[in-house]
Amino acid sequence: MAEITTRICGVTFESFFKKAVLFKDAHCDNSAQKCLEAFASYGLKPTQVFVRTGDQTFNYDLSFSLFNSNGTFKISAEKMDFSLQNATNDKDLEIVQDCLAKVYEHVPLPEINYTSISATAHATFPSVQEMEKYLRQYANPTKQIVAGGTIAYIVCQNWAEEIRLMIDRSLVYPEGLFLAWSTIYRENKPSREVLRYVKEAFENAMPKFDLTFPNTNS
Amino acid sequence: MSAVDVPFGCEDFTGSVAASARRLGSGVAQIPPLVAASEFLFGPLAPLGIADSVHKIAVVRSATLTCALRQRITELSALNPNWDDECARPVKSDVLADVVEALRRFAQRTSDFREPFLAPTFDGFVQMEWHDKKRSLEIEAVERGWSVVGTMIGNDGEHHYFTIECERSNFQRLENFYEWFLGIELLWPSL
Repeated sequence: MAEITTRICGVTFESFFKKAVLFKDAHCDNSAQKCLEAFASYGLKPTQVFVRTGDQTFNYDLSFSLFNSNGTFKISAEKMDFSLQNATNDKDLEIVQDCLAKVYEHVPLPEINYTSISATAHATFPSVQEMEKYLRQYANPTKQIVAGGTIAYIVCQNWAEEIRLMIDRSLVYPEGLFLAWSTIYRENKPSREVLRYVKEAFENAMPKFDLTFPNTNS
Repeated sequence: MSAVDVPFGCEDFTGSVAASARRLGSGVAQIPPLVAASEFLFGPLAPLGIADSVHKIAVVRSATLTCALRQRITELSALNPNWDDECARPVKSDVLADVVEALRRFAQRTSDFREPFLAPTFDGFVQMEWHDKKRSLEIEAVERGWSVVGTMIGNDGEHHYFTIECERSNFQRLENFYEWFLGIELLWPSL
C-alpha cells in the first residue's frame, strides 16, 4: 500500500431542484439575507452578495464568493452550485465541510431532486520514481502504453451510491497523482453527518487501488 | 522636434507614453526597492490557506469586541495541538469565527453586554458561559451546531434546567437565549 499526501483539493456540490423556480417565487432577497447571516463569520459582506435579475423569469441567479474567490456559491432557477477549491490540509477541509453544512442548514432551498458531489485532488508520492512505479502497473510496453491510470466505479460500506474514481498523472506535481471522485446523493439536503460520510467514502475508496492517505486525526 | 527631445516640464502631451517614461526615468532619481520582490511575494503577503484565512478573519472581526474578549479570542486562536498536555486539539477555525459572530451580535443587540467566560474544549470547540444570581447560560459549539444549557432558580428556590441544540448559523436563536439570560425574555425560548 503506497501512502500519498494530498497537496491541494477542491469539492463541488450541485443540488438540482425538483422543478425550476420562477424569479418571483425564489425570494432572492430573503436568500441573500440568509447567506449573509451564515457567512458573515467568514468575512462575507452585504455588498458581496449579488442578485442578477436577468429576465425575471428563469434567467436569474444569486451568487457570492468567499476566501478570495476560492469558494463560489450560486443559486439559479434549476440548481444550487457551491464550489470550494485550493484546500490544502485537513483544517481547510473542515472549513469546506462547515461551509457546505451552513448552506444546507441555513439558506432556504427548494425541494432537491438530487445532489451531484465531486471532488478532485493532487496527491503526491514521496518521489517521482514511486509515482512512476505505481502507474507502471497500468502500462503495457508491448502495445507502447508507457503509463496509465484508471477509471472505476466502486461501492463503499457507508455510502449508498456508486462512486466514480479516476486516477491519473498529476500535471501539477511531477511526483503526484490527479484524483477525481464523483457520486450522487439522492435525499433532500445533505446533513453534516452525510458530509462526513462522503469524505470517508472517498478516502475509503483509495485502498482498493493500493493507495492510502496518512492518518492526520490527532 | 521629436517627443523625446522635448525638455522635461515642457511636454505638449503629444509624445508617446514610452517617450514620457524615458523622460521620467532620466529626470527623476531611481528609488531603490525597500524589499526584494521574492520577499514581498512570499513573505507576509503570501496567500493563506482557507483555514488560516478564517482564523485571521475571526481575529480581525473580534476588533469590535471589548479589549478583554479580543485578548481571549487571540489566545484561543493561538492554542497549539496538545495545549492541555492530554492531546487536546487546537480550536477549529470555523468554531472561532462563529463564536466571534455570536458575540458581535450579542454586543449589538443590547446596551447591557456582559462578557462571557470563554473556554476551549479538548476536541477543538469553544464554550461560552454567563453566570448571574438567578440565571446562567452555557452555549457550546458542538459537531452538529450549538448545544445550549440554561439554569434558573425559580421563585420557589428550585433549580430549573433547560437544554436545547440549534444549527450553527442560527445566530437569531442564540440571541434569544442570551436575552433570556439577561431577563429580557422571561420564558426559556424553546420554540
